[in-house]
Amino acid sequence: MSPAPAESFWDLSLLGIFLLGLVFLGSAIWALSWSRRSGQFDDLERDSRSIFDADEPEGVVQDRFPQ
Amino acid sequence: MSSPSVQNILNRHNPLAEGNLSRVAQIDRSLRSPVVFFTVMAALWLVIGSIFGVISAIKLHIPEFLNIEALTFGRSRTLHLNMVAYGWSFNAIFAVSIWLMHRLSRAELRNGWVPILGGIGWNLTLVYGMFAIAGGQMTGVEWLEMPREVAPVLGVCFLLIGLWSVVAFSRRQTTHVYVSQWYILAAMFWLPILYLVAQMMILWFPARGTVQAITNWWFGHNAIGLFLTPVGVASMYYFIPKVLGRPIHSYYLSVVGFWTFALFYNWAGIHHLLGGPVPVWLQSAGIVASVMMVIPVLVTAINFHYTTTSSQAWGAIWGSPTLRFTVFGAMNYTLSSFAGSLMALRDVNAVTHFTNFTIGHAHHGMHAFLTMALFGAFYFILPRLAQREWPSAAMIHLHFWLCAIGTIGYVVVMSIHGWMQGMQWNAAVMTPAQIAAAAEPWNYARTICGSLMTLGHIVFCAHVLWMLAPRAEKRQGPTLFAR
Repeated sequence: MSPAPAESFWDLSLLGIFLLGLVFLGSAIWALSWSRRSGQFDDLERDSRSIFDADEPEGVVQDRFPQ
Repeated sequence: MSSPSVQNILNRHNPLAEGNLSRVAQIDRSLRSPVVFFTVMAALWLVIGSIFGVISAIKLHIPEFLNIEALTFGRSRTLHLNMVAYGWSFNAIFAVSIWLMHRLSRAELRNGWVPILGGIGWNLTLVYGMFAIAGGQMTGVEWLEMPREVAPVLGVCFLLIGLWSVVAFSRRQTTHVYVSQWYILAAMFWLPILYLVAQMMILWFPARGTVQAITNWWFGHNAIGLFLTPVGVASMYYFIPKVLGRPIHSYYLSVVGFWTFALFYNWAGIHHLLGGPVPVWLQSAGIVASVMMVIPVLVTAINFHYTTTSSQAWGAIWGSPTLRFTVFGAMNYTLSSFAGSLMALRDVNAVTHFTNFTIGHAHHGMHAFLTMALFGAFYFILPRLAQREWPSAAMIHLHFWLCAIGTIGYVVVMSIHGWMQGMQWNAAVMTPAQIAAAAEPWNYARTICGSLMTLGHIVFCAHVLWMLAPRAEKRQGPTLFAR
């Protein structure tokens, strides 16, 4: 007996979701390997200071209550 | 941590005094229209959504309150959830993520009309969705109650908005990708997939049986965990070190935190169905993932704790609207996440499931953590975009105390009562009517706490509108400080 149309549709969908899951996992692995290759982990001490610049430098409190 | 004189600060941040705009001021200026648009939309939805929350809470002890069809408990409570989730949280996160991504990428926003177009579409579609819910056209699937025809429109609008964070990243002028950028990029990548799969498997081509429920909670929990939470955490990882002027305690740990977060969070949603008719191995996997979430949360907690504890930091935190709200949010991120891990244990869940404990936990995460952290972000961002100082320190204090007391009170009330409810139900000594009657004082307390939060939201919204009003005093410079 051939499966009902709905069942064969779900077999296909399951395959699609499985592939989507693989893409998900693959993208995470790629992102992690990219960040290692591009030197994201080379000097974390320096990179933690990347949010500061000449306009908003390290060591200066940047926000206060208005008076 | 030095405290420069006010004149120094104003000179440094006064672009006109220097004759040309600083890099930061140029970026902020390019971001002004879309970020202000999303902020105002978010604030308006927050007020309306909170009012529906209070209406729902009142109905629990005065059932005949506003007794019309469109405001029955099932509808008003659903309106509350959808308005604060898709109206407030999403709009606020669009604003904060667009701003953070451009700031961190050192890139100016180009073609700002695209995210605004997406935002107009998003908000108009929400209005349609809310009227549909009020009219009884809801789907009955939690977190996806709006009729299914809104999904394609919301999806396209999301892409128009979310894409701009990705565009900012692709045009970055920096070599290092800061941890906040990782969180935001991941959120913008994850949500469309979650939304697409959930819509397809539940509303368009419904899967059969419990697979629908599994998909529902995979989506519902991940909309929080893989979209709202990462942007909240990204915001805290930026503003705490930024405002204090000192780098994060252990940047290494923050990277570990991101990757463990990405690995574990998406499995956890199944803990909503513990004890339900779904395969036990799936429930166990959900429990393991929920408990493993202790790792990224602990990492974040250690980092924030050691960044904010020093001899001078406390004064800076208490004296800064941004940090007062953000650190409050960070503390509650830790607490609510640990509570969530505990609630996923079978023995604990047997008591807390279906009780007010869960609702308290939801507000702990969505309000005490996320909403407070987003408030903190807005207190930093808006003055720099509007080039105006916040008009009233008193309103910020009022906003903080109303929300802080309201939200902590709510979580405490709901947790205590939820635990009592669970014990009463499990013991099967009292009748359901007796258990419901015993809830009455707790329901009053819930309304009071919810009202405090709502008042706080009204203060915030009014303050935002006052600040942006054309007649408000305009001051020079991209960043403003104590006068």
